[in-house]
Amino acid sequence: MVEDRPPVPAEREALDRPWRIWASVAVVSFVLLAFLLGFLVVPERGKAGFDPFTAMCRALGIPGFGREPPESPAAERAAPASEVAWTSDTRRLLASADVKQGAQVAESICLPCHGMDGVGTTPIYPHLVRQSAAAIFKQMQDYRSGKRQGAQAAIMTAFAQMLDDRQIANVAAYYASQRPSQRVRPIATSPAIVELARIGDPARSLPPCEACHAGSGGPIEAPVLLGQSVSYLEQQLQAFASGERRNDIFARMRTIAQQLTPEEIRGLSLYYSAGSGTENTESDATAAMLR
Amino acid sequence: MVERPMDERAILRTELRWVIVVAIAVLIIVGSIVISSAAVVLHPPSSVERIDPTTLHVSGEFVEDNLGAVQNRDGSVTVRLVATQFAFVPNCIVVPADRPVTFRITSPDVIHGLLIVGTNVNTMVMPGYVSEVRTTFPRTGEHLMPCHEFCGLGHSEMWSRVRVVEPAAWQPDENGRVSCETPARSPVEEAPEETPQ
Ligand code: HEC
Ligand code: HEC
Ligand SMILES: [Cu+2]
Repeated sequence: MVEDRPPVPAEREALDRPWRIWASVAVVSFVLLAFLLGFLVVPERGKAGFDPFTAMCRALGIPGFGREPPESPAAERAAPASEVAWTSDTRRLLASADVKQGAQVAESICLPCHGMDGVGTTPIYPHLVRQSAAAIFKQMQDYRSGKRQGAQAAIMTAFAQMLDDRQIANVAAYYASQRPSQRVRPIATSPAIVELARIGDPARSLPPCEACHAGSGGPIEAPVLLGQSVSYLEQQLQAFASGERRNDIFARMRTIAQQLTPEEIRGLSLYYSAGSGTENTESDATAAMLR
Repeated sequence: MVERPMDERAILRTELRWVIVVAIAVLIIVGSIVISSAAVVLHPPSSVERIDPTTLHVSGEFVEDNLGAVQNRDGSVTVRLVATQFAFVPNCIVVPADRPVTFRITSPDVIHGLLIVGTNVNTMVMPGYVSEVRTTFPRTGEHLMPCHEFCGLGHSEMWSRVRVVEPAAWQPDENGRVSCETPARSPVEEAPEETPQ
């Protein structure tokens, strides 16, 4: 209760007053000084060109006060590597995909080459079985728009153009829902190749392939490599290195593939192929070379 | 409790002493911020710029073809970069010495860090925001530019090069761009190249 408190003696109040006044003055002037320094003096010394209020709003990121991004005329003319963007719309489309309808698309179109279970019928047709829906969706979109070129992309472009966005999402979800019948392990060819795949090479700024391709981080569209045929992997890496295939966003794979030697490309392809597709004569030669 | 009147003045003096100690500590901290910003030119960002990280590669100033060093119409130099898992794009940039250079950088995925070794360029790169740094390189030579914010398994392989050349050797092409692939059109015959280690 307020009344319970004994009244403060007048002399003590008088003693406290200057202390209270000066303490308040000190705090207020410190806050003001900090405001001035933090929002006006330090961020834009000299050439501000706008009033203090605008400066504060800019620094706080209040919408409407920020600077217009500088003009860059070339940006309008630039052609993106891929038109696929992982916006909330795209993610919603993938999340709402219908696996049953996807199976119908797969049966009517993809079956002869990729099988119903996503296992390529011959080594020239990549497996879709271990891929994520995001990876399949991105590649189908890029085939359809013509962004994915190189190797045998022309075959796929024709099929992708038969489908709309929703059908692509459905068939991607269908193949992503397939489970592989057997587990595969990479073939440890040489220690240098294993190191490249798992540790990378800091001196050449080559990140480990596993950082992106093992499903444990990196871009969500990165396909699973394990189990693809040697010839397919090698072909794709060569297409990235030569720049024929350039649908990788921000040149992630082109930059890496350009730095790999032909021997490394061969070795990594064999490593990830896990022995699949080695019936191909060309790859037999490769396997023999690495042995 | 014993009703013993305390000496108000003694309490006041003790309080005052502690206030002075705290005030000195605060002044030292604020002072070092002010000095570092004025003398070493380390500024807090003066403008927060937002950008949609999911569509960087599709439209706007951070599309792949628009990255790298460019001479603007008013003659100033801007370097646009994207920091992504696990590389800076482009992974080599050329800038002129003794000219103001503005770095604009953003990320489509996670937080990265921009640090140009041996210079005052040092900032965090956050998805959703554009980080801008302005600087001038006084000497020619090559700097390392590592990512200094752990960003994933490939973090330790995430680094690029910044090559600082004579202003006269920095010759933009018809689009105003200069890249590491552009042959250096130096007026003097090639100065001995610094070997990267
Ligand atoms: C005539 C055979 C054939 C048919 C039919 C076919 N594909 Fe393909 N597919 C290929 C070939 C060949 C490639 C490799 C193309 C390349 O080199 O870029 C491929 C590649 C792909 C890839 C890229 C794989 C990766 O890891 O990058 C996806 C995804 C794909 N096909 C999905 C489909 C879907 C979905 C269908 C059905 C709508 C389909 N394909 C129908 C032959 C076919
Ligand atoms: C920074 C992440 C990253 C790293 C590291 C990386 N890749 Fe990739 N890789 C990708 C992405 C993303 C794609 C898909 C590109 C696209 O969107 O078309 C890809 C595609 C590929 C493909 C084509 C696969 C297909 O089915 O179409 C091959 C082959 C490949 N990478 C091999 C490698 C090898 C070998 C390494 C190690 C030397 C490696 N990658 C390291 C991100 C990475
Ligand atoms: Cu990083």
